[in-house]
Amino acid sequence: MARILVVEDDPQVRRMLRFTLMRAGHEVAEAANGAEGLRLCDEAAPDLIVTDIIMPEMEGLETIKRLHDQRPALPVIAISGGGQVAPQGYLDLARKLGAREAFTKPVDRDALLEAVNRLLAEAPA
Amino acid sequence: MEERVTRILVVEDEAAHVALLRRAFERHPGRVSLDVASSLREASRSIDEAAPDLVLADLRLPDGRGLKLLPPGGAAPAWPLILMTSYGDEQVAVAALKAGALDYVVKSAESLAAMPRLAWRVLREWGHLQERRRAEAALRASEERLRRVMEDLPLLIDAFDERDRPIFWNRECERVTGYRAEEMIGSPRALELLYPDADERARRVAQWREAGGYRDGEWPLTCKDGSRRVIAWSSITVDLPGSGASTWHAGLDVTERRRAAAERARLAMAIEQTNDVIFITDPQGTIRYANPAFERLTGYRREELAGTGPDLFPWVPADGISIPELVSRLAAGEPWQGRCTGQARNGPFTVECSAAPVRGEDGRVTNVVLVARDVTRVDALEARLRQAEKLEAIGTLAGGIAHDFNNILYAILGFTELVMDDVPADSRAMANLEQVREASRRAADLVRRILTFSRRGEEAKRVLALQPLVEEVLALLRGSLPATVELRQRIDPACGSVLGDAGRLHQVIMNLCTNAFQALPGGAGRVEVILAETTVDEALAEQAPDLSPGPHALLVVTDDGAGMDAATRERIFEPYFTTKDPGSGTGLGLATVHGAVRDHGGAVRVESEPGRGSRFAVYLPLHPQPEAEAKPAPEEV
Repeated sequence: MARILVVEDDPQVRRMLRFTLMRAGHEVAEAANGAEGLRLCDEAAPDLIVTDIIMPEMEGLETIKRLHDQRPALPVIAISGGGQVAPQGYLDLARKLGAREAFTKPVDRDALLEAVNRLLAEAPA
Repeated sequence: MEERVTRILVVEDEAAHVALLRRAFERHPGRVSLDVASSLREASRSIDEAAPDLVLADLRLPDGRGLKLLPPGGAAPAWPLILMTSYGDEQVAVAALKAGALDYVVKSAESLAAMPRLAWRVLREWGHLQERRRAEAALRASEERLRRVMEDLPLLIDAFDERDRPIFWNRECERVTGYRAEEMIGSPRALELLYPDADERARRVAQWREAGGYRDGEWPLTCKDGSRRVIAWSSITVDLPGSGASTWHAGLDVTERRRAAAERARLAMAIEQTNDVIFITDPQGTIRYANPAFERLTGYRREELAGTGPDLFPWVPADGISIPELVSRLAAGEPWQGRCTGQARNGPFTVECSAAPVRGEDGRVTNVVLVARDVTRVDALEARLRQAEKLEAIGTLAGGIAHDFNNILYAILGFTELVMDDVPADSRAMANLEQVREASRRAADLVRRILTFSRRGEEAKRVLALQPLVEEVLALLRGSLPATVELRQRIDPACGSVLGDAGRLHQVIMNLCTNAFQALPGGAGRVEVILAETTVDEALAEQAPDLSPGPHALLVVTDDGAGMDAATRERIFEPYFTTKDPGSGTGLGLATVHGAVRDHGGAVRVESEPGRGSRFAVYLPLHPQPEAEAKPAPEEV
């Protein structure tokens, strides 16, 4: 059981991710944008973050960079629905900025949970 | 005819002398009337009444000397006068002649008797004198006339003395040069003003001195306002002998004429050299002139065109107007503009044409000028550009909605899986949820494929050999092909590598091959896949705006299937365009090929005719291989 922060602007996707992660036995905090995510990251002290890449307020890539700058050890999983540029481009960039894993939406549930568990296991206690 | 009476006035106060003279003239043949005056006063009155033919005047008269009858100041009298003197007055004879008397006689019986002979001689002499005087007056008048003509002719006429100073400078010289005759005549600087350049001045003077003169020698002179005017000069010295060492010239100001000629020459040159097609017809449409651009466009030489009409080769105005209708409209003075397509010796062409009637002075259409710009290639390029832009726009749109669409799909898929956790595995609900999940995955796959052709080259490209890719695709396909399909392959192992994305190029080959098989009617036929190296030359690069000249890998997929008509060929790269039955194709296959190939700096060319199969040729630029890479890298220690 771990604390996971979900940063996602689409309320349905956010809700779905919360349910999915909770069923997998995790405690989930939600943020609707990057700024809120950064604030909750301080308050809720999550063990892992799942963040969308294109979001209002603070752009997802910027969020990842600042999270990584603040807490380099905190594992981040980036997910993207793509946009003007193909999702692959964002995901590569997300990896470069510090995301450990990056997925294209819709994300395969098993792959996501596998990544979550793996990264949590790797993370220093 | 009555013989004319010669009237002689005798001015003599001595009656004896008068008598002697009367006797002498009576004896002499010829009708003579002698009037006698005995004084100057009487003589003057008689002369006033009727002018005599001859006056015989005594020197000494009671009221003065006979010479007083002559007009003062040596003016010519209207009649001849013979002075009669007494012996010892001879010394006055010289003065008498100076004063205008024609002769004198020292009076004696003999001399008076001989007077008639002298009188006839003097009258003859007078006649000659009068004739000469008339001739001289006529000459003077003629000279004056000539001078005035030369003065007023609309020709420059000037003359220079042997020291090159103007001695004549007519009004036209003044008008053209701006220099007044008063400034020029006698001025030693005149030549310098007209020809400021010393070399040119020397040349002109040398030319004047040349024997034989010249005609229509054209050279410019400098006017008072500094402008230069071209004059066609002819020397007229040779035609006026005895005019001394002066040189005379007549010149015509041809500045405007030369300017107009130069203008015309420039226009003609422009028309001859422009890339626009220009031709001139008569109102019936018969070609009267065509410029070289016309030859280049149509392939007809101008010599062949003389007298040919608008039916020389087939051409069609795009607005649907017929050629005879067009010709008659133009002949009626109506201009026309539009696009025309045609087929001439040099092949098909498209031109933007503008036709304007030319009217003569009487307002009737005498000619028609047609200016046409060859837009054949522009047209083709525009079509390709439009196609590229359309694909680009669709790609942009797809990218724009993909993010939102994926979020929606993710929610559907995620919640479906959550529900699936809650329903029994063998329930009908589970089976239906499986369908929802499957449909969501298909939708997600579709979005990915839409995105593929809007992709930019952000993927990590690497230097890639195409041979294994092609082999892999063909191996995959072979397994699923029916025995009725013959699959041939010719893969050049020497074909160079490209810089590319293996996944996307894999899809390109796969899509082309799949399309080829699907084009085979009844699933039977032949598909050939060729991989070779080729060089894109300038000509090909010009046709395909996406291609640059240079070495390329060429992948050709040929089928002998259904083929395509022009309308289909035009649209095959559009997303969602499909000729397959609804449900059996996404319409994205070739759009994906197009996008991927374009992102690799290449191009796809299609050749196809209905019933004759299709040939897709993919050009991918080869990755230049630095020589250093060809050598084995030294191993790290």
